[in-house]
Amino acid sequence: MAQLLCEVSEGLRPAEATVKVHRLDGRAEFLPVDRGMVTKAGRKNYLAVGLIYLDEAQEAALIELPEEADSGANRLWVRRDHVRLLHESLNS
Amino acid sequence: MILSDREILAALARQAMFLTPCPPGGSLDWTSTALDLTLDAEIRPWDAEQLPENMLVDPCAADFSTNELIRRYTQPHDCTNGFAIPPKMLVLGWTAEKLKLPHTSKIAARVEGKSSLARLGLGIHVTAPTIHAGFGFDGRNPAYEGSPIRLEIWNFGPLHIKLTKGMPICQLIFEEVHGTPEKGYAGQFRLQGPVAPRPRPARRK
Repeated sequence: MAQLLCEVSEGLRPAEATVKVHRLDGRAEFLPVDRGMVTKAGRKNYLAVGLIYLDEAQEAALIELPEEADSGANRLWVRRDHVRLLHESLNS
Repeated sequence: MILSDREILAALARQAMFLTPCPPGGSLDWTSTALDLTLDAEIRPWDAEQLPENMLVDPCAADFSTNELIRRYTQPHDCTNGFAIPPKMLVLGWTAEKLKLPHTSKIAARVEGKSSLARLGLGIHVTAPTIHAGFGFDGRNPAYEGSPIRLEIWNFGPLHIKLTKGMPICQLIFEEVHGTPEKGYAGQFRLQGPVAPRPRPARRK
């Protein structure tokens, strides 16, 4: 499990949020999630995601979103420093 | 392999998945291979008359946000006392029940319509029934109950149909994921070519 840095705006109802995350190439991805999937840490918000692979050499991470993004993407390459690891969940 | 009602209850009991609230086994919400879910009060009807004529959307456009579009052109409704969906209208809704599928449980689900409503022309999703492992799961917060399922309710029939909070609106079918998904396999997932992958056209559900 991991968490991905995100920006949060209003959803379609109070229990829902629209989340914006950034791909490695800088492009924004939007997806609707239940607000419980977002954790606030200081001024930053993090979305619970699945961690598929860490590429430490390229400072990148491949993550799986909890819901399909509006672009149709389910998995994204993102910046490594946008990802918080909860447990060491990678297969070695 | 589709799980039977007994296997669904067993998976819930061993916390391989979570459904809140969950009707008791043997209640009328269960069938031998599925479980009925109910409609929550909040809905978002798309009103075609509110849209600009011949409005075009481009899901591949940078910064495209479906929620932003929906918020701009729809209004929330409360269907506690009923909402009549006319022919050809699309309504976004949510289940009252919340689902959590941990990544490790190797269970996926499909949300499907009910034949009783289908006979009237009412569909509850637009070709996107799959709920993947990891849905509604936050490993950092075990107390989190899970996420409701968003429904795309569409009236294909000729009648006005009343949607009411609490009505059985869809059914949930659980399937066992066979094998282990490829994960952390460096050869499969190593970032190829330039550091920044090229944007690709959006895939359809």
